[in-house]
This record gives sequence, C-alpha cells and structure tokens, in this order.
Amino acid sequence: MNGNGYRAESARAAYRQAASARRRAWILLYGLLLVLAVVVPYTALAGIGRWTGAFLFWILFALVAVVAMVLITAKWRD
Amino acid sequence: MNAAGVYSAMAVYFILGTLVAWVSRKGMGKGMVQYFLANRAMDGVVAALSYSATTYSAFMMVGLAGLTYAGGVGALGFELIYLSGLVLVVFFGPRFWLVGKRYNYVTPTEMLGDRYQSKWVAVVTAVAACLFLIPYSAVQLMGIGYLMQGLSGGAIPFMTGLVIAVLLAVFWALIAGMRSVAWTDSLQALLMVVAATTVMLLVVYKGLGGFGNLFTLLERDYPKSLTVPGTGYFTWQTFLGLSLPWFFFSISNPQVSQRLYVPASLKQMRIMLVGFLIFGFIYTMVSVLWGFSARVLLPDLAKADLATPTLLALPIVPPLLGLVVMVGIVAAAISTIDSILLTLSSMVSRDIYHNLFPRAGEDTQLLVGKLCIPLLAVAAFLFARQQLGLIATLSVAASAGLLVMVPAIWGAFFWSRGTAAGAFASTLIGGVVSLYLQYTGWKPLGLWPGLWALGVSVAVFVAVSLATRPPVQRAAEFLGYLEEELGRHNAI
Repeated sequence: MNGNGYRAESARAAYRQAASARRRAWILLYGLLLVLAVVVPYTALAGIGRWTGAFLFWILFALVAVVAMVLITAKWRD
Repeated sequence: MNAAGVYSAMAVYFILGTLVAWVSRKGMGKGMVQYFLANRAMDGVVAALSYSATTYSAFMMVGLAGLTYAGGVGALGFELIYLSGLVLVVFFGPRFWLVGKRYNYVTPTEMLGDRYQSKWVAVVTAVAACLFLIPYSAVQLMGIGYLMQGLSGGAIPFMTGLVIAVLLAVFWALIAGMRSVAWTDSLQALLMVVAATTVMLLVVYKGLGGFGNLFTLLERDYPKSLTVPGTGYFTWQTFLGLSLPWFFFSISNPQVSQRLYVPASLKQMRIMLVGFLIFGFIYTMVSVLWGFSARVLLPDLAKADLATPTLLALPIVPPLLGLVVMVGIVAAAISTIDSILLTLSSMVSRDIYHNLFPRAGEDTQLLVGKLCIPLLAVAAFLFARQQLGLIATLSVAASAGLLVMVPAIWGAFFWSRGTAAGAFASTLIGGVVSLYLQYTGWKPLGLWPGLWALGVSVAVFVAVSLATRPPVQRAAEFLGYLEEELGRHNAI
C-alpha cells in the first residue's frame, strides 16, 4: 500500500470510529428517553388526574422522539 | 345507518380503490422484484402513506379507542412508545435497504437465510411469520365484521363483512402486487386520517363543547382515566406487555420490514420515515381522543370495542360522515390485510417453495406467490370466523409471537458471531414459548408472553451461537460491505 492508500485507509477507520461513537451516544440518549417514558407516568405522575399529567407527558415524549429521529437521519445522503 | 347506505358506501370505495389499483399497473415490468417490491423504486410520499396504512389497522379506531375507553391514558402511552420504536428504522432501515439491493433479497427472511447461510433459517422464520400473521389478519377481518354489523344495527351480518373484506384485500393485492397495494394504501391512508379527524373534531366540538370541556369533564368525572394504572387495566406489567411487542414492530413484522427494501433511495426512505411519524402521531391522537370522547358521552357501554360504532351512530354525527368514517376504518383494515397477504405470499414462494424446490424458476415462484394470496386469505377468514376474544389482545398476541425473530435480525446486522443454529433455535424455541404462554394464559411473575418470548429467544440465540460455528466468510463479506456503504451514505 502506498502513502495515499494508508491515508485513505486511516481516514476510513477514523470515520468508522466516529460513526460508531455517534451510534452509541444516540442509543444511550434514546434508551434513557424510553426509560423515562415508562417510569415517570407510573411514579411522579401516577396521582395527577389532569390532562397536564401523563397525557401531556407522553405527547412531549413522542415529540422529542420524533425530533431525535429527524436529527439522526438528517445526514443521510444518496 | 341502514344496510343500503353501508353497502352503497362500500361500493363507491370499491370502485375508487380498483381504479387506483388499475392505474398503478402502468409501466409495470415482470419478475419477483417488480411484483413484490415495486422494482425498489418507490417514491417517499407513497411509501410513507403505504407504510402508515399497512401499520395502522382497524385496531386504532376500534381497539385503541376501546382501550382508551376502558383503561384510559395508558393506551396513549403504549401507542406513542410504538411510534418511538420507529427509531429501529433509523438504524436497521439503511442496512436492510443496502443489502436488499446488493444481494437482490425479496423478503426479510430470505436475507436471514442468506446471511446465516442456511435455507432452514429462511424456512423456519417464514413459517413463524405465517403462523403469527394469519391470526393478525383475522383480527382485522373481525374488526370489519363487528363494525359493519354494529353500524347497520345487525342488518349486515358479521360474516358478510368478513367476506367483503377478504374479496377486496385479495383483489387489490393481485392486480399489481406491491404497486396496487401501495397506491390503494395511499388512498386509504388519506381517507383514514381525514375522515377520522373530521368526525373526532365534530364530536368534541359539537357533542362536548370543545377540548377544554372534554378534559374538564374527564378530570371531574373520570380522573383515573388520565393516570396509570388508572382504572386498574394498565398495570405496569400490562403496559410493558403491550408496549414491547409494538416497539419492535417495525423490524419484527415482515409486512413492514419488507418495505425497507422498497424506497428508491435513502432520501426517499427518510421521507417515508418522517411522513409516517407525522401520520402516526395524528392518527394516534385522534384514536385516543375518540376513546376519551366516548368515555364522557357513552359511559355505560357493555363492551369497550363498541365505543366507535356507538359513537358513529350518535345523532351529532351526520349519517354521511359516519359512513365515510366507517369506510375509513374498513380501509385501515383492508390496507393492512392486503400488505400482509402480499408479504406472506412472497415468503411462501421465495423462502419455503423455492428452498424446497430450488430448480423452480422466477416465473414459477411468481405464480406460486400469486396463488398463495387467495389461499392465505381463506386461512385468515377461517380463523376470523371463530371470533376469539377482545381485538386488542389478539392483535398484540401476534406481535408478541413475531418478537422471536428480533434476535436473529439484530445478529444479522450487528453480531458477526451469530449462527444459523442460533437463529433457527431462537425462532423455534421462542415461538413455542410464546404460543404456549398465549394458549395457556400463563403469565409467570405477572409478565406478558411477549416479554418471555423475547427474553428466551435472546438467551437461546446468544447461547447456541456461541456454541456453534459462525459463517465467518459470509459474515465478513456482508458486514464489511455494510460498513463501507453506510459510511458512504453517512448513516449510523
């Protein structure tokens, strides 16, 4: 492999590492969001019989999840 | 509503759908990829509407509205957790799409068989899909039967509704395969969401004086319906039991994971995903608000599944609009059934028939696939005739069963150490566990069958894979290609 080949290979390896780190970070954040989506309504909001309780919480959860998916896929290219 | 009105509305729906299906044939070529995947060239907007119509079924306006009526806000939570599960498309979608194009896969189970280098993996996963999706289709048929019976005051028998649904689904699937299914799905998706939203707004504003009043009445008379576990239905075990299968729906259910092969490009796939998220959010809110409205307006229903038909029969809903919503709900069911029939028939042809008769050419495979569409529909019809239990429970039972494929699918893309024996055993043992728990109604530790089925299939997949030899060369080639291409497309 010549010098250019090594540089191209190391650039690809660096990219793979960055993509892998990005993937892990999103999985972690999203996992946390999912845990909150189950735990919060059954604990902190369990006694709140108003629309501002679990109803509003789950709507906000869904909107955050949608925004996260839009952000992750924003970099896709053909 | 009288029977003549219901029949007339169905006739108009049939004519419109058939016209759209017929037009979709234009430019159609020959072969399996053309018929079952619309030549992998679908526009993102059509793909989004079709994905939405396939995913959302009669369960939403009948079952989910009923669950909200009976159990309260937990129904919203579990359905929105399902929506959040589309994050799996973010990670698995580009992978399915890339290998589908590269290796010319037609079905998701064909991909598993090739990745693990075992035709028996393809056969057993295809059989498992049929085993679980035929009851799921039957649930949709039952939804139509109940709805027509309820709306016509019994003038249209349950069985007539079933027969109409089967004929429509088979006809539209046969006309042009994925093309006619996707185009009729798009029409039906628009009908579903526009009609349901219009009548929901009408019921809330005309019947209840607006959203403010609806929630004031709920908070005053039914405060528990705004909490979990609320009235007692949504214990955390039930909530997880319902949510988990739905969270994995986008990869566990082949009629939707096959759609990941179909978009023309990754950008079109993104349009499909975002379009679906918008549709799903609106349709979920409408179905849940529908259930809450029924809770306030019709507090004494004998069965929760009657909430929607009874609401539609109220004097505040003009009969014509009620009919349009009914057709919208029928459309939701038909669009799910025809997609399932199409996917299952491609799996029977490609993964079962072709593996058992490897010398069968593409023309024969296509013919077998087309013949399977009516045969599978008859199987679903026979199941629906038995009218088992509450719609939501049966629907979830099917999704719980399909969870057993998730470990093998994950392993195909993310674990080079996964093996054919692991994929085979996890599907088989997980499937048996799921069926046994569903059949006996046994919930060890109070946890639902889906949780156990997934846990068992993960454990079996990992343990058996570690004890057997992986297809090293195939895994390296498959995963290496993906790594390279994902980088090129900037997908993670």
